[in-house]
Amino acid sequence: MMLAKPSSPPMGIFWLFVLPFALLTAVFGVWPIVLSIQTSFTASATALKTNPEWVGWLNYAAIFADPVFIESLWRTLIYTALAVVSTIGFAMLYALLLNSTFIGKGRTLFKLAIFLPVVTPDIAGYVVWRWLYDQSFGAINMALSALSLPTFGGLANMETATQAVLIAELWHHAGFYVVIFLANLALLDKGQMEAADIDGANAWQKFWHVVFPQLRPALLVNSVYALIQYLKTFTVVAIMTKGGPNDATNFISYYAYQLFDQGRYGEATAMASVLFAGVIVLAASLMRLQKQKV
Amino acid sequence: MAGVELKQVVKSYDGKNTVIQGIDLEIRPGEFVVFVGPSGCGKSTLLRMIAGLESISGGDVIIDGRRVNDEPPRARDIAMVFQDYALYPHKSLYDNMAFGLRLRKTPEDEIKRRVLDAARLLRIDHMLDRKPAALSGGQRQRVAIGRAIVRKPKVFLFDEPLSNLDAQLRGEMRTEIKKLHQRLGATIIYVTHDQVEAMTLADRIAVLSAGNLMQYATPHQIYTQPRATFVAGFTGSPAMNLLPCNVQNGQIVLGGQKETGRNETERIASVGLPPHLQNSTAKSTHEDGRYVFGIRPENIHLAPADDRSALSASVVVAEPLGAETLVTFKVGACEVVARCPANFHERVGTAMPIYFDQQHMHLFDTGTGLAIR
Amino acid sequence: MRPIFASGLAPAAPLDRHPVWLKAFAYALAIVISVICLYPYYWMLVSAFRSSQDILASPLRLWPEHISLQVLEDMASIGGTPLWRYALNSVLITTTSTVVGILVTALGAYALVRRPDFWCFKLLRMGFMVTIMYPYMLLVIPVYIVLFKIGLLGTYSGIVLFLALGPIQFFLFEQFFKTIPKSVIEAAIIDGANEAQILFSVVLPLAKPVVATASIITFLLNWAQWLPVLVISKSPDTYTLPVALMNLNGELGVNFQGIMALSVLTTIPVTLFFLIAQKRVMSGMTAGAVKG
Repeated sequence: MMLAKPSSPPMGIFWLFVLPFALLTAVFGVWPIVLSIQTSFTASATALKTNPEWVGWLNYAAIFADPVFIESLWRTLIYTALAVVSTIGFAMLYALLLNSTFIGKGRTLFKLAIFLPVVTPDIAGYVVWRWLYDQSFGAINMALSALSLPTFGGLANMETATQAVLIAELWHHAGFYVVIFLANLALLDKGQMEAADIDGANAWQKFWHVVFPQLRPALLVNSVYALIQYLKTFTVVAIMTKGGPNDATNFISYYAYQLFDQGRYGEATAMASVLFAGVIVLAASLMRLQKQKV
Repeated sequence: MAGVELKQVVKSYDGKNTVIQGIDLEIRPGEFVVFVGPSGCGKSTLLRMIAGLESISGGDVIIDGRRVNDEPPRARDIAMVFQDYALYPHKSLYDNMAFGLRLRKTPEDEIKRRVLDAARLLRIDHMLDRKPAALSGGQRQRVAIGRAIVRKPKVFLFDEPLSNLDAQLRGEMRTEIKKLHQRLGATIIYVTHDQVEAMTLADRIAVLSAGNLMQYATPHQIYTQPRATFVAGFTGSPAMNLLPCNVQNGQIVLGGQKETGRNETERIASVGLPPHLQNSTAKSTHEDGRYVFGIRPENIHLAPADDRSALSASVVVAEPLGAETLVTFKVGACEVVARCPANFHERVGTAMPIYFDQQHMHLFDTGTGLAIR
Repeated sequence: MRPIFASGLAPAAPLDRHPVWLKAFAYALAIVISVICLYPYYWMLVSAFRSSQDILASPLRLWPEHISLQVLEDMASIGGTPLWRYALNSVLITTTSTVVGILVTALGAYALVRRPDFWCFKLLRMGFMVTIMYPYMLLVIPVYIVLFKIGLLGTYSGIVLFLALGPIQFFLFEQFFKTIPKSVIEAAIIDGANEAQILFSVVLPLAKPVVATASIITFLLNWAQWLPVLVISKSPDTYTLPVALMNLNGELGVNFQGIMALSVLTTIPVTLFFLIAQKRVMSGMTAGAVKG
């Protein structure tokens, strides 16, 4: 094969092995992305035709001039930040709890309970949550009023919609990070822990000086991972709020999809490209950070 | 059994980083040759080039009279024993050894014969249905050797096979490998960084350093006539004493030049230039007469003799080993280690004469490290 | 000091030196959280057996007043397509995309691990990385166009092929193949095996556990996919259960019981799968993210 250098080992059958993978990646990965970026530079009406009209940065300018987009961007960033902090924070604390010596038997059951939502088809899960949140018929408000507590505005209320969505997503994603942190905790240096014991450290000191420093790289990695995950928030909005009420939960991914539905291909792909660029920057900085730490 | 020839073999990466500088070597059929040297000297790379696991950047590798540069390992009829044994984890010992033969479509009864023979030879015939995970390191190594034996190759290649074993096991396996060679009469190329393995196993030793062949000779020659300080320091434990010195007026002055005014308190130690070195130093073009002087600890004695030169020394430290005592002496401004009898009892600081074997004094060039003959 | 941190996976040393109230509190906390996690399933299951009126009337009931199997009739066809068709599609599409995905990804990852320095392969790997970074949901937009161009729009093949690629499977295989010592491969080369023989006689037998893990995880993830199926399909004939649920949910004021029943149907298979293989799934899914 001419492509291989003469001094490097022969490729032979590896071309065969890699072919289907390469094809799939090219056809369903690279090509669509290139197409998407291309489309973002064309006029929406002509996007699907054979000779789309080139409009340069028009679509990008349009979306950045669109107040709905700017607000959506802003909203997405805030929501993502909130979601990441609460997810990672909760996951770490819950992992610490489950890993602690307070919990002996039943650890596996708790692990299963929290991980189950992760493998549940998100549609089914969010459908149920939607009904639980319902103002008139939802179990949550029923329970709250039964306990004489104020009812939760749920999805109907602009202020509480975001919170409701967040809780549902937390339910779906947290388990993943809990299990990761549990695995990291199991890898903690026993020697350091014993040294701290001998030095007479109490629980908080042990956490701050022994556990936390060792968890820091994992915290960082998982935070970025969660960041990338939450930036793509889509299904929960599609099921529960459709972007509402009043665009309160109209995050970027969903807004872009709405535009796609409306046929505004150019702007939709422009938005997708912006999001894509953001994710690449995040992922690249993650890799750089990982290289540094190592 | 076949011979192997290396002609100006070169290995470089990306055309820039040259790790093997052009090595000429010739291994006779049935010979046990050891490539030895420190980490990174290129010995494993050289072995892998002979095996076909690394490409050859320059020169020729010839096995059994045939140039094999462009041939894959399978066509070279060689077998290899790896440092980490490289057994197939999911196969039984029997299948591990049979794998290569099965690939060559050898009939099953022939396979059975060869595997059982090899297994008996290596004393693993009672566990052939076990998997590698159930075995100890030494047993696994024997399976790896067995896998090589059944193939009846032209050349056996060993890549630091004993490095992963503990010291006692290493000693046992070393003896077994030597016995195996005597029994099979095979051509063996063996790579190690351990000079004891090299000295005890080899018919000839190739000492490598930074991709260069420093010396290629029998163990005895390597030991008694090292061609460079590198080779001299590599063999023998404790290592050869190497001291800077000055040759003036037929005398070897140990410790080199000192211009400080402390000459009165430091007694300058010197010995007469032995006959076998007189001609070479006369011919040498070194103006300042500076060399590196070498003498092995066992060639330093406490009793005088006709062929020994005397020096004044004082005891610095004595390390009793049981069968002998290693004593460090201060000679002039230098220190030397000597092998003394076990009953050495002089105290630190005691002044006493010591005697160097004239025959076993060495001089090396200060810059290149090459021996002056 | 009573150690609070259990260092390591080994069961903590018998430490009943903790005050009972502290342990009780810890357990209570974990139980509450677990209940919150599991309650939606319970609600889903119970509601599937209650008539829609009953659900609306008293949503908090813990047990159906009377078991209503009315839903089976109602659900027999959703939006004109029989329920069994959606179920069949789910099984078919998920299984096929899992098989194809595992095959393709395993072979691809193997090749990339065996020849990591080859520039073409490096490029391919980077291309794959870039692909998985693209917002997945938005990828369906251009994929729609691509499939249109190559004529696979609306076909099972189109859906299956799109679902075949996934980051988790790739990383699992890549990670695994990297753990095979180079010397074992070299021993096989010296024994005379060609690459195909190395793959089948040496590598694949060792890969059985990874293949199992990756397959289960891929199955679970692909079963839940709805947007790609929705976008790529031209008619409800190729919809899967999650998509059917999505459509049903969009129709307000209609059959709550039906929605819940459909949810149950969508959730039960993968839940069972997960419970059977939970260790594998949990460790496999998080393998890439654990530093260690």
